[in-house]
Amino acid sequence: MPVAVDNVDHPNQTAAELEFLNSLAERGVKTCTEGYCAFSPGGKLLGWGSGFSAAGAKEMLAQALERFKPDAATVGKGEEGVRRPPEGGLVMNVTWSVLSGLSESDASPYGEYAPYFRRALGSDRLWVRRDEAEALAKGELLESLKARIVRRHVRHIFFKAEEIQLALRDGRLSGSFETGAPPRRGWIRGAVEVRDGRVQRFDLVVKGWGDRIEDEGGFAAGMTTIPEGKTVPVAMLFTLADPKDGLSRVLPSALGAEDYIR
Amino acid sequence: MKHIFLGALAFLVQSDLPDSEFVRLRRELDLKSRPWATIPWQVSIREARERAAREKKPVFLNVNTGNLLGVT
Repeated sequence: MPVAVDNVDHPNQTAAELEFLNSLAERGVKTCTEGYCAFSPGGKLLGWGSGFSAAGAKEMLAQALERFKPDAATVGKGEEGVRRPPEGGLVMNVTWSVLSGLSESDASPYGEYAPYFRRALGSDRLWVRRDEAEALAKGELLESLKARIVRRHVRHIFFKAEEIQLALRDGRLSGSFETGAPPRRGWIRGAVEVRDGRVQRFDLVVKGWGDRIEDEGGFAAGMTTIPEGKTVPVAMLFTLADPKDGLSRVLPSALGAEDYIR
Repeated sequence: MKHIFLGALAFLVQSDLPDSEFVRLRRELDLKSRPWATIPWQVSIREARERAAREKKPVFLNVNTGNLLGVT
């Protein structure tokens, strides 16, 4: 049963979960800033370490499976403070990637993992309020949603973009922006489909010219590998997430901003 | 002649993302196009433990400074 957590900032982690993690084999997860481990539902540590190499992880998992015996999980209840998407709203997957312009010879702090970062798909979530979803279903893009898409997501990747235009008309999203000097045009295009009064499809592609993002955590994915002073083609996608998919429950990166969902 | 030239120029200047490119980027940037995103990740330790106990499986935990699933 795969699960991923942030060791530093995990807003939805409950006190009971943290207590459990810290109890694992006396070392606890808090002693590790990165890596894999495997444990039984009851908390018996089965395997630890391996860095992020596939071969190491596979070996660790094989050993863990050999040691595993099914047991019960006594878990603490209580979800105080757990943040969930707005009731009646929508969750969208937001992804981005550098399309071209990177070279294997570009300098990188990522060492052996540099090729993976260059090809990496950035991943985030966009939350849409109920009233915004209802407006979309009626063919209207509320200013609040437009602002969230543009300020909290598009501008995070295309941070040099000037005057990002975005509009919805007859089920078609369109827009543009400019980046750089001399300015180069970026394009926004998408579609909204509605059935039975509910949004069933939301696809929005943003394509333009992007610059390096300094991001120690690597969240910006391939954007962190763009050489200093270079501008390359980058694209983003917003699309409806499956609410049953675990990935749809990862919190939006900008959720910490006070006005994110207002 | 000048009008014909300006018309042709306007035609050649891009005014939107072409259909083919929209479709291509929609496909390439889809989260599920990446193998890591097809793994049935859980984001709650409690729920992962409960489900693992029901299904008689161990829990595989990835810890990072910054969630590997896309937020830090």
